[in-house]
Amino acid sequence: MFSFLSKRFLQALLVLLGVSFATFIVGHLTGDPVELMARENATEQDKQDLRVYLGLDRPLEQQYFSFIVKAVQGDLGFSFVQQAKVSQLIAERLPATLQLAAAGFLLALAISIPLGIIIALNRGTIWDFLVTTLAMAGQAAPGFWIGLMLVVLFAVHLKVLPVSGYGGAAYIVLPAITLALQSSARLTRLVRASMLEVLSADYIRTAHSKGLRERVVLFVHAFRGAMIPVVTMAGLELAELVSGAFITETIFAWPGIGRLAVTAVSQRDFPVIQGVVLMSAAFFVLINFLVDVLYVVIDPRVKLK
Amino acid sequence: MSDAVLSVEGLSVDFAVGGSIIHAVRDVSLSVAQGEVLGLVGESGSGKSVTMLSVVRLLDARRTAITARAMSVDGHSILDLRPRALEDVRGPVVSYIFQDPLTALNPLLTVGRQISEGMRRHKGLSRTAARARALDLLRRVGIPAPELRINQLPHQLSGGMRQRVMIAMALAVEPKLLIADEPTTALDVTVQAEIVRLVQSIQREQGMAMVWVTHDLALLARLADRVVVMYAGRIVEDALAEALYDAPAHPYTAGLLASTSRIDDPFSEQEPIPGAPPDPRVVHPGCSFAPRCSRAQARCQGEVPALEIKADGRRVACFYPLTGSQT
Repeated sequence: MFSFLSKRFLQALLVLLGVSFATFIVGHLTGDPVELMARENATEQDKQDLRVYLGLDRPLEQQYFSFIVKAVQGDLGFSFVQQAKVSQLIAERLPATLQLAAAGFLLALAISIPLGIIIALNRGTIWDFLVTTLAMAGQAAPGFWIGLMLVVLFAVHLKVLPVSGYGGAAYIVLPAITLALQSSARLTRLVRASMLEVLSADYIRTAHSKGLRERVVLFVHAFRGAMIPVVTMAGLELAELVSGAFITETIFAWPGIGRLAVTAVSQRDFPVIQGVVLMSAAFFVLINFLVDVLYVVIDPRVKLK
Repeated sequence: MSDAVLSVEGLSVDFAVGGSIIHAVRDVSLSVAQGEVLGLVGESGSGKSVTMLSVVRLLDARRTAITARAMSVDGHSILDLRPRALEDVRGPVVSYIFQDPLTALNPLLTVGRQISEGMRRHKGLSRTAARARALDLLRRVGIPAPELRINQLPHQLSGGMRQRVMIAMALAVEPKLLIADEPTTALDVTVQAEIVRLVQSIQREQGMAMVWVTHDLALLARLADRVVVMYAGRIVEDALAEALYDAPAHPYTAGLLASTSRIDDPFSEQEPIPGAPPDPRVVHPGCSFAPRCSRAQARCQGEVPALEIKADGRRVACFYPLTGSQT
């Protein structure tokens, strides 16, 4: 088990290194930052001074090295557009994104796991058909549309929830539901399929042949195995939410990482974009690592592989 | 028949597969007495496993229709039982050993857990008591180092050991009837013999009734008291083992025997039965074996022969049997 996880950990570090290199290179391919920053009447000498000041005159590998060293220390650079440290900008926005991600994710799990199991057990019935169709529609419907429809219904017509913004608990409901609906559409179908596959396994018949109670067969023998693919998928969903639900955050004016990134892109604020990408990648890698840990807990066979 | 542990009358099982209906088992009647070992023989798709799985309704109820004039196990009328009552019969009354122990054991649960859970459910044993008995059972079925094995997962065991675990699991609740559904098919030949011997010794010791489902007639020779031969969902012959091996009455049984190597005549030629088993979706108006039968006459094509009891107690479904012919 230890060797499996330490191997995965090393792999995760390598991935992060790769991502950092890619973002660093892209940052340098998109033009000379000095041209962007310097005043319009700046002389060639001024620009050269600025370049030296920023360390942009040094060889690329040295720049990359210091970028890594600083990034590890939590220094992701300086946004000249917003006149603030990137790390500080991200730190300000992260709590909102994490709140929304947690709310959306937990809601998605609370919807999809019971629902997926129930329709798997009632496969072929009208309920199965309805839920599967609805989930398919949910998967096909764009997130912004779902968000806007929710706003129209709950904020405009029923007037029970705020349209957008950040503040009390009421503000998180609609964006969280928007995210959860999309996530649970995907997860419900997976839970159903995975549950059906496990339920048709020989060992489920064995469990029945032993006269175990139906709920024991379901939750002790079937559920655990069925969760293996679901954990992978749920991990990806969570990673996506944590790295910023760009569209949903924009619709609901949610002050999270997603909106920070959208604004940064429109302002060509490269240090911020770089920082967000690097942070998202770090979350992806971290969550994937946690998924691997969960694998070992769920499926003891993994230890030996 | 009152001392029968298992008694089945007129059992039919239909599957719905992709729009068409397969008559997997048609009008099967059989019984197993206390302490008796019944061998149930047939080729793949003959309905032998389906017959035995329907004994405690282990088939997917959504896709199968089980009908029978009467079917009872140890006095429980199986088709009338509610799901909860059925759960009480599965295990202490009827236990199963399945064909492939790798897929039949839960890959995520330890061997000990899987042996214990039946005892905890049906005998109300505590966790520690069940574990202690599981250890005894593992020892009993000949697993070395049971203290180590009890905490292992199925994939950490060899095929033979896995099947021993299955056997321990089935025996844990001391069933009245043990159904072994091709328990040696997935194993190496050398291991097969050990497993057969093990199950046989346990069956004799406990005096429980047993049904051994197999396609291997030779294997049953030293195991079964009585042999029931199935073909295309029907019983074609039912006779005491000795009588059946000495003088098969149904041409299909004779064909099976001729295609089997014999220990007492190792150099005899093995003859395959010509043709292939019938498509189960097609309902044949006559005897299903007729197209492959050398003794078939016009009557066999248009009329299904009934399973008739002969003078020696043997049951045969053939118009022109090889022995005890009366027609």
